[in-house]
Amino acid sequence: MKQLTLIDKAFLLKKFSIFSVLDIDLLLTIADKMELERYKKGEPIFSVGQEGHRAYLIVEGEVRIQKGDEKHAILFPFDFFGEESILSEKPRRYSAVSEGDSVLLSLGSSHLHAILVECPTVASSLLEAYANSVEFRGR
Amino acid sequence: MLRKLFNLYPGEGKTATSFLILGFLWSLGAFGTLTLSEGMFLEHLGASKLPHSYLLTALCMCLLSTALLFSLHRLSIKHLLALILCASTACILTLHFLLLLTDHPPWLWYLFKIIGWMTPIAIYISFWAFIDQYYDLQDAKRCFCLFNAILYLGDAVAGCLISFTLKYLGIENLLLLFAASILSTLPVIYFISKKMPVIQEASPTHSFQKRTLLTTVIRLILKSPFTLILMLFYFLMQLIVITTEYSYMEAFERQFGDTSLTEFLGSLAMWVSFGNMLFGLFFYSRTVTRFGVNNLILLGPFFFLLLFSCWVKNEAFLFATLAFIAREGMIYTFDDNNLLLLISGVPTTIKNHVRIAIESFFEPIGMCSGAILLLLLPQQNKRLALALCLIIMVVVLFLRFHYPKAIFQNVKQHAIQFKKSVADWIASFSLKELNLCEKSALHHLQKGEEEIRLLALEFLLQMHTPHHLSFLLHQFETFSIKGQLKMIDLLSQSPYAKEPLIVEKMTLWRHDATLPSLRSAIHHYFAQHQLMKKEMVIHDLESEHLSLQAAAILFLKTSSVTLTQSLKALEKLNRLLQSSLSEEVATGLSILGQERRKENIRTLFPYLEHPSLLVARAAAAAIFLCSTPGFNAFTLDLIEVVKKRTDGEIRFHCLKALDLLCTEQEAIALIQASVTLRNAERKSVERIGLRAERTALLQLTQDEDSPISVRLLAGRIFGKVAPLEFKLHQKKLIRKEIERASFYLYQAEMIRNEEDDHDLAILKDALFTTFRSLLDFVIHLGSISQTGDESDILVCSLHHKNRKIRAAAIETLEKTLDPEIFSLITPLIDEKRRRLTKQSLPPVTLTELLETLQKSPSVANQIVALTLQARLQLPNWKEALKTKLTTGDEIFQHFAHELL
Repeated sequence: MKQLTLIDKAFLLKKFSIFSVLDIDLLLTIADKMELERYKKGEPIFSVGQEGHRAYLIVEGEVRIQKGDEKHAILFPFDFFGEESILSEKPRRYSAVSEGDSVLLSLGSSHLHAILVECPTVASSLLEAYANSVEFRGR
Repeated sequence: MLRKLFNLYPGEGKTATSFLILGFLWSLGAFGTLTLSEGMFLEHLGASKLPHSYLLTALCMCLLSTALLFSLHRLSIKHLLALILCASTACILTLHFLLLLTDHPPWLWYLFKIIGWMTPIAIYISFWAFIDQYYDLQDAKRCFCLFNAILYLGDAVAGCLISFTLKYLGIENLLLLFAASILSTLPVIYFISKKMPVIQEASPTHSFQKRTLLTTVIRLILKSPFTLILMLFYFLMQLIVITTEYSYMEAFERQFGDTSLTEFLGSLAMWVSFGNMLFGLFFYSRTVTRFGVNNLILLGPFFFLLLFSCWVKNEAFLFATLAFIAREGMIYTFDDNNLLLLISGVPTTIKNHVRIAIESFFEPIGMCSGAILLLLLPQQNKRLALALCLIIMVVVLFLRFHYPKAIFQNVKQHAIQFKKSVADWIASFSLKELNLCEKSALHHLQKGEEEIRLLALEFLLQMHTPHHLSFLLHQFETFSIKGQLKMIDLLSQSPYAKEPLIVEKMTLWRHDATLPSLRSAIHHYFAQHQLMKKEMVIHDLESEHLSLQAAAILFLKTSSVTLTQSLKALEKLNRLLQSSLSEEVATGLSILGQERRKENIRTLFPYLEHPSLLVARAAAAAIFLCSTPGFNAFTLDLIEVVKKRTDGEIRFHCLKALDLLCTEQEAIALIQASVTLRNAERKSVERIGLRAERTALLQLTQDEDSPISVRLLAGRIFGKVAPLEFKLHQKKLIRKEIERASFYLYQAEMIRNEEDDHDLAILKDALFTTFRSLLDFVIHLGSISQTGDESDILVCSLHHKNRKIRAAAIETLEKTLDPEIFSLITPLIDEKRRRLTKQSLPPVTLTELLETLQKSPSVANQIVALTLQARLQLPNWKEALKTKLTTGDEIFQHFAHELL
């Protein structure tokens, strides 16, 4: 993937469920704070116990989530991860490893907090994503 | 005692000692090798060969800095430091064996000189990058000079050793000693990294341990004027260092010849290092705290300027000695310490890259350039230095100017400001960025998901590129009905709404449109832009489709038609407004809105209280469309709506209407009603408030009975409306609020944490909250004139969880506020310093404290005070509660009923 322009990043964000309802003004503002990161196959993105300072959005490739040696989940493009540590202020509870070559957009903790405060729709989309991922509520 | 002498805070001693041991051990070895190399070079090859050695060293340093930059992306700072220390030891040991095994050929002295130069520089860079991980800017101001001072102690002890033991131990054994000293730092590094927690670099971008492209580094450097000036300044300082060193070495050689020069240099280095150490240990931290690093940076260049101004005219040996002191003293005590603090102004991601560039890359380039200049102008070295000093003075003034801005820029990187529109973004792009974005948007418009294509269309329409219009319109057929409706809406809002090409296309689309929703959207478009023709809509008045009917009513009501048609339209409209279906009522209201007649507001207003949110929102939107400046019969009522309705959309439209309707007095009423508004809504009020009267704004800012958020808003507007008048009242106002904030803080800190006492915990919390609100108010007021709308960012950063961001925010505050105000505020924002300077205020009883809280404008404080008064059965609590019941707001009344 070539270097992305601001408008590319903003359009990419629109594809993620948590940002899908935002208008272009907000998308551009958030995209401006997003960092494009590339990982090679098997390269760790973060490990258990590390302090969490960034949340990640998968643009290309897949990311393996694991606790210890056990494979927990595979995340695909337009999934996001790593925000739990920022919100809970606790160390990472799982490791994230790039399954193949992957491209991610990452967002710093202070920016994530600011977005949640200023864009209630993002906060509610995040809650919706959590609600969908909590198994006993889904049953 | 010792801790106070070194300006350390309680609990910092252990950490500081570890770094002091580390610094002493490596500096003894590295600076000892450096001093030996310089003395040996002069003794064996003479000063005339110095320019050659500079060139060679410069070349090697370039290689070293490239290697360091390369390693930065691959190794952690801890491992980088350990690796450099091991490599330095190996180099010194190699020298030791070469001295033992060869008959000292000239190249050996060159090699000695090169290794002597490179060792301290490489260790120095990684040492400071290592320490930087453990300190924030404010702690760095107090502690870094200590660590720098210990390096001078190492240098002094090394000078002393050379001076007194060279004759007995010989160079080879001294080198062995220095190598051992450097190697012994490894266990200390291991201990520090195991036992001490690192403060995470709150980088707005990814940690630099992840690969940062060289182009990204260069782009960031070029984007930061401060970084550029900082690099230029230290490059020029490197030139002046080389020129100065050459000048005094030349003078020393003339004075001493070949004999006893090394001993003289050793003893002089020892005394200068001793002086540096004393200054670093006891004075630098106090000086920098008092005067600020932005003022201290002037000292070095000024001293050099003064020195060379005199030395050019007078060849006295005193000036050579002073030059030595300037080079070995001023540079180390001021410029190096200053750089450790100034580097905080560099964007966080490239901080270590810039450190390496300045410390190792500029050194060789400066050396190389200096050597070339000295070779070109052999007899003009002092004049050259004088010219350099003058240039440096200019550069340092720019640096001083940009430093506070750069620190604040870094603070700002951690915040997001949601106030830029697409048009603002487009305006902020460079031509190249704009071209790239245009290409990208055109690409997205043709491919991909419809939602993204519509975003691309919106972006391109905002770009004001009429040459794309035909292409954009061509996309209409490729969209789904939903997309086509959105496209019509976007075109309607665009600056090209009345372009003949669009009107022509709309007519064509209307002709082809089979779906009522699409036809009605086009009809609305025509009606809105007065492009509708009667025959287009006359039959739609009886249509089953609400939107088609609405477009017909709107047209008939806004065009010159027959009385019968007009009355029929009115009747249809009234039927919609009286309907039991919210959708029909909302459509009726939006027709009234699109008529844009101020008289309609009277009809629209009651619908704001409608139980259906859809209707209330439509009423608010219509009121905005009908609002006309000067028609203010409903302004105060609208302000009440803004105050009471919590829905963001209703507030948004009402505030837009108020922007058109508010007069001077009503603007003040709106500011007073802003307590419950959200940040973005307050920004609208701030804009409307600009028309308020100065005196009223000042009174509101000073009014202690008004909520702090209202006073702050009034203060911000006052600062914008009358900046000079604001400055006149600013100090007095801030001083008073600092007093109040100190009172609340003191009382909160006086309450001990009793585990089971829930009431006391609530009281403590209320006092702390009031203190924080007052402190934020003070910071806002103090920084408005410098930071303007961005004082919010400063306040948020002061509460940030990351220590480095908080420290940078304090630094910005120091540079922004009046020094007197800053010194008053410091104990309130710096908890460590507050603990050291415990203040004592006259004691107050709990009853008095609760009475103060009860009188506070904050409803939360009043509730806490009255609850505690009731629980403690203090006299007159019921009377106080009853009074509040009659005067307090709704929330208070609910609470009072519960308590009674």
